Amino acid sequence: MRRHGYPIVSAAPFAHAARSTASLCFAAAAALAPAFAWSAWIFGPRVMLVAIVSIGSALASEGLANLLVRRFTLGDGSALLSGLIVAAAMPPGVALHVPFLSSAFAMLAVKWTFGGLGGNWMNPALAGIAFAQVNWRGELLGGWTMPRILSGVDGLSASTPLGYLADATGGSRVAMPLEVLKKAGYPVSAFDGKVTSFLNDHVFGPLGAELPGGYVDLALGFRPGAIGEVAGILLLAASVFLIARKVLRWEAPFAAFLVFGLASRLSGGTDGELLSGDALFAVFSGGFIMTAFFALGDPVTTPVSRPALALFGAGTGALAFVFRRWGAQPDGVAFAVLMMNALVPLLDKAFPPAGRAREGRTR
Amino acid sequence: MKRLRNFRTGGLAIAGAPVRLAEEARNAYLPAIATIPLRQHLGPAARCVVKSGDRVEEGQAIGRAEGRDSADVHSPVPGVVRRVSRVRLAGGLECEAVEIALSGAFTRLGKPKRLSPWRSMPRHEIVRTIRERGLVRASDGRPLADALSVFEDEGPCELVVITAVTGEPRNPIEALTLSRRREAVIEGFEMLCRVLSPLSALAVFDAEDLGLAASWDGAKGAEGPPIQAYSVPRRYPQHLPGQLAAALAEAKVTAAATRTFFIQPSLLAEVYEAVAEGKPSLERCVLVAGGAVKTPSVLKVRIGTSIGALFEECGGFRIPPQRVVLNGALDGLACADLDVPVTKTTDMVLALTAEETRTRPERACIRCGACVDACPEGLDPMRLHKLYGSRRLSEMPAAGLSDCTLCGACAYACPSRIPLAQSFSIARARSPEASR
Repeated sequence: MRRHGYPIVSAAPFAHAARSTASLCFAAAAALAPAFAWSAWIFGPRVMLVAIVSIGSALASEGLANLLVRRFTLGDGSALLSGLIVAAAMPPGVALHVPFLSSAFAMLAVKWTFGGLGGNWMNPALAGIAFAQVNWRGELLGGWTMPRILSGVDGLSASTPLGYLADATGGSRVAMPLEVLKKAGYPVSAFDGKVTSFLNDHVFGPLGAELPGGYVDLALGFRPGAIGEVAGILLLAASVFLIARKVLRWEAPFAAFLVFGLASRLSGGTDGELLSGDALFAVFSGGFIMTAFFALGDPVTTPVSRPALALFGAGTGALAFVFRRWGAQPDGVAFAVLMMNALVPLLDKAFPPAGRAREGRTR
Repeated sequence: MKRLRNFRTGGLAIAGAPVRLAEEARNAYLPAIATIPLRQHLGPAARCVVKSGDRVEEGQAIGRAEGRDSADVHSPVPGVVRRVSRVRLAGGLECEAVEIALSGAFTRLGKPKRLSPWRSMPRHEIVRTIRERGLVRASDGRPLADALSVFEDEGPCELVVITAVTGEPRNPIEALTLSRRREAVIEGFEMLCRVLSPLSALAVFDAEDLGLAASWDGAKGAEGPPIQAYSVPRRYPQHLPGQLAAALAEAKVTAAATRTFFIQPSLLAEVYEAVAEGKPSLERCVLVAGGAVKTPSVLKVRIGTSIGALFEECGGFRIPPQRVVLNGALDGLACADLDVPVTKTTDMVLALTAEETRTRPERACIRCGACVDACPEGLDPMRLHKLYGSRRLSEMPAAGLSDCTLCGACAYACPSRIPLAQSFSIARARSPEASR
């Protein structure tokens, strides 16, 4: 007690904001829970098995890395969130080694080789998803199943709207995707028919417009699709919640939606006609909503300042469009984000976080 | 009365639980043994001029200023010097202290006041009196006489700003002083005007004190310019001179480089007491608050009283506090124990609960930018922290450390609980050119 000169007490501040890194991760994970529950109802209980394997693998890998570096980080919730996002991109009927190895790769190879949370330059979960897409294309294609509401049974395999279109049109896109799907006998739920006719009678009809069938199924997830990505409307609700709570920043997702939506609308179908594309279909099919909010909302692998974030989002939207239209994968949005991740230091340098740093002001 | 907006960049809006307090400061019990540190100011400790066994009177000098930014120290109570020992102050530094056991008669307390005719005093005489009475500016610990003469040396004063705006949590003692001791504050202001001859004067209030602000708008003494009142929304750290100047410049009330002297109302009242009544710096109004305190109150306390005695007088602890802090939750100093004495710069004693401190394990930076958004000086704490972590301290001043006020807003906002402000203060201490 009587040692002279050295402070033995800690320094200010002694109060802190309510949010912590762990609370941010857990809030994001909790916001994803309804989409998973909904998916389990649509596709059957196997969805939960895939999620548990993916999360378990992520947590175990994080724990293993913790043992190796002797630093305990399981409590920060980031491994849980990554495991959830990897699971969200998996088909309901996928072989279990796919989510297991993808999550392990995300944690060990992408995150911990760079020093764990905060050190990684690439989004671990998306890297895990990309890892699965390039390694197990066959397993993923074989894992898509038809929702129970459409087929009446669990686990009837099917192809996703995007995959189906890619096969049907030889890789290019069509102006009226839902029309093509309908003609090919792609099923539409009775619920979709009811809601669409109600909307046409009471909302769109009086306005002189008409909503074609199929969009309601698309937004609600009554179609083959990835576990966490089918229910676009639930993901949008989760994102509104997270943005309102300031867990996510809105700039990057907003820019990504704008560019991706506009590009999809402007470039039409095979006939090259302008302004004939289906932006709504483009956004709701595939993993775009999921990626736009949960990968572009990851602060570690995105820039800091607002203009840089907006550019990052715009770049992701543009690349996602290019990859989807001309790419080898039906849905290349994960690769779009990973490519933009590499540009983050450049964007941070071009648009420094603080205003005063930009002016280079010294007093 | 005019309303200002806040300083432009950063800052924190903290919605703390409102504290209901009595309308007036309550006199605290006198300490049986007062422990008076000889360093209660920015500069070196005062030289002890008493020894164990000496009898001292209330207000007698027991320490003499040694060097720049040092101030005389007086005995707050009559009594006998028990011993000259060492005491650990808030923030952890030790210094020499005089322990006085209370006994004998008070020469001031409860006696009729003799007023000196200060209006005939020349300005240097007023400064000398302020110096002899050991007055210290609580906001930065600089002896008031030194602050005044430094200001004099650098050129004439254009503006005096009386600040009733406080840090976090809200401290009502300045507003109480303005409403309860109006005459003393105005006369203290006149004395200050005699010394500085400012061109104009204004008072800045929290937007929660609109009534008080209106009552002070246009207030005027026999000397000095009239006081214009302004109110400003609560936003941390609006109480700092830099942020007040920014808010005033933003509203085009003053030019950016106006030579301004900032002073708190309680210090103006002390100036009045020192010059007119000859009273040295002996007591402080202290807010005793925090979630762990049973009945938060404002107490009038003799210097040298232990903070433990203050908590006792407020009914003790409701629950064990997680941390005991002096002078603000965000830019204050931690106390190692409850023996820390009240000094001339103490205006708040907080016993914070775990819900208030919200301590969490430190985690890696997730680049969320919360610190950048919080910085009221528009700096990039992330970059500064990176430089600190890679031991490039010499690059920190140019990267913004010279403008850092150590307000702690960045570390408050950090979700990973990185001790940013602590790193910056260590870096500041190691590279002297970084301090302003």
